[in-house]
Amino acid sequence: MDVTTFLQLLLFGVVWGGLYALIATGLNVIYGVMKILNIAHGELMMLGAYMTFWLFTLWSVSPLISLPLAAVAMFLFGIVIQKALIGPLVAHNLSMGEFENATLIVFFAVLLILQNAALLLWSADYRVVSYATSPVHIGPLSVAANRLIVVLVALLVSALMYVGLQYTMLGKAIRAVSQDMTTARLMGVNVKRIGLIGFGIGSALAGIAGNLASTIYVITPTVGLLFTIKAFTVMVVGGLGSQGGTLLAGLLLGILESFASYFLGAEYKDLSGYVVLIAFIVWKSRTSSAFVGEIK
Amino acid sequence: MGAPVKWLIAAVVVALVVLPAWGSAYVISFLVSMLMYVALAGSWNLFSGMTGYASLGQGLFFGLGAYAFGVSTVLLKWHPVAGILLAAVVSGAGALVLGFVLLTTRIRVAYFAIVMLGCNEVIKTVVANIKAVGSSSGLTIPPLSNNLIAYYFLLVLAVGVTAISYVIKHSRWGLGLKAILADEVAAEVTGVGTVAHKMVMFVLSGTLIGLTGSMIAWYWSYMDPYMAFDLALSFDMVVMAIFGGVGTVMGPVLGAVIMSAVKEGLSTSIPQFHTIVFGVLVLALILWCPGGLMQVFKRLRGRLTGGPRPAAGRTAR
Repeated sequence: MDVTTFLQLLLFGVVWGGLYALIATGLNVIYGVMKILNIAHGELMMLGAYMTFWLFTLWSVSPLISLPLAAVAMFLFGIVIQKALIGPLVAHNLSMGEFENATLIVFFAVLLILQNAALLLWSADYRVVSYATSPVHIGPLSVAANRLIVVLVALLVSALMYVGLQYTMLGKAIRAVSQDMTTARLMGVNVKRIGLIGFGIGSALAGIAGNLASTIYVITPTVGLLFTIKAFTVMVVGGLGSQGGTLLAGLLLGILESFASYFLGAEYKDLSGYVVLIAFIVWKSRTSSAFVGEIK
Repeated sequence: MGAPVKWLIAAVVVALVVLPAWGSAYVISFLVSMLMYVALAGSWNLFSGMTGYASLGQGLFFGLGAYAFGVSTVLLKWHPVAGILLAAVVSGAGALVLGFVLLTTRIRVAYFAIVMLGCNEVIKTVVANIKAVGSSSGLTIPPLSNNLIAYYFLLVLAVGVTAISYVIKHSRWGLGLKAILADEVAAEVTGVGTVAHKMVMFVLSGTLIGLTGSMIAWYWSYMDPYMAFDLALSFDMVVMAIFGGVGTVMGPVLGAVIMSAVKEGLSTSIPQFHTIVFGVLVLALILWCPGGLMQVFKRLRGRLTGGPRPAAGRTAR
């Protein structure tokens, strides 16, 4: 393998990795503030992708313009879901285990509904947004412009999230709730409101990721679950609540997949991510008691 | 369980035993899939429901059982009965190995759930790339001489799983599981062999699911990795068990029976919308009663007898 191929694979990996990191950041915020494993996270991304596709196809709206629209739409959608579904569950005053079971099945139902609604409304046809496909040359490398846009936007949004979570009051409140809900409440944080906003922000990030993904990947109603699992891998390997770790893990997963599909074949691309996830969880569960955590 | 409920259950089982004398082929095929779901949801509940470790990839043992049966009967020309026994051994051994890796130490429930899902996908991909077992085009199995073989096998399995879960629930072993569900560390320090409890239930659950898989593969008479290791199967058993009432004896049975009936009814009456309506029904029930159908019954009974209404949020455990 020559240097050019190596760099090309690396670049492709970084493009996907940036996207994975973005989805995982959203999942991470939601898991942090609500302790919910949102199995329908990828479906929010799918909605963002379809929104971009239709705006582009019907009114030729540039994906860069529909990006904030997708973010706002998914933010509102996330708030509605949180209000309508999590609110009633919290009111039941369940134990942690019961709450986890209930949210698992609730979001599975959301996944079913969104997936099939998309199938009914927009059919199972593969949809592609052909935007900025002309190649850009960087030294010996050539890469489609849309891929560069994806990685740049993904990194920019990740950086904004980092700054927002580290330095703004809202960000600090989100981190406080993620680390210790009870103490955060004692410190005067409105835990309920933060849960709502956190869910909205996580959903908005999924919308942005969907917008970006629509330009470099085929959109189908069933595209979500695969991305949810990848985001979960990145979130776990990067560390719950760690933005830097999430970004690094996202990039590493993207690069790993890129090399795995080149050397082993495309059918092993997704497999490589699963193997990393399984190995990492098994290894960490056996060596770190913090990783096992208080939540059974 | 009150005496009327026991009589009702006995009557249903007797009805199911004699029903094939009148039932049409359509009824039999519907009941086969219903009994399959009862066996699967009940087996899922034996481990995940009773210990609290929700597995999102328990269908992997279904695939292992199906493939053990397919490979031994088609490629090795074994007798089907030997194939079914092999399926039990292979899926049980698979659960033993996975259990040693995942359950001999403590692991976060959410992580366990996703690792199981990942294992299902890994094994699916690996099987789909092994040429000797037909890779992605799968295996064709000589069909059953009579579908009633599948019907009665699954009936015995479904009743067996439910009986096992009843016996375990009302034993000292069941108390140990209850302790693990409530607080694993506390259970450990009070002398419950947590690893042994989890391992035995996991292997039991895997073996029973593998047995179901072997018979269903025979009933299908064809299978490929995407059918045998279909994630929808893994999800269905979880949804059915939680819908009915996780951790209870009759919950998974009710969940599987009602959900497969609703699914069948909706998919014939409104084929285009059936999954959406199904999703909405599941949402509505869980938001109203997070403990599932068993909690609904408990509330209704409380109202009918005028007794104190169980506090909101207490499940029917």
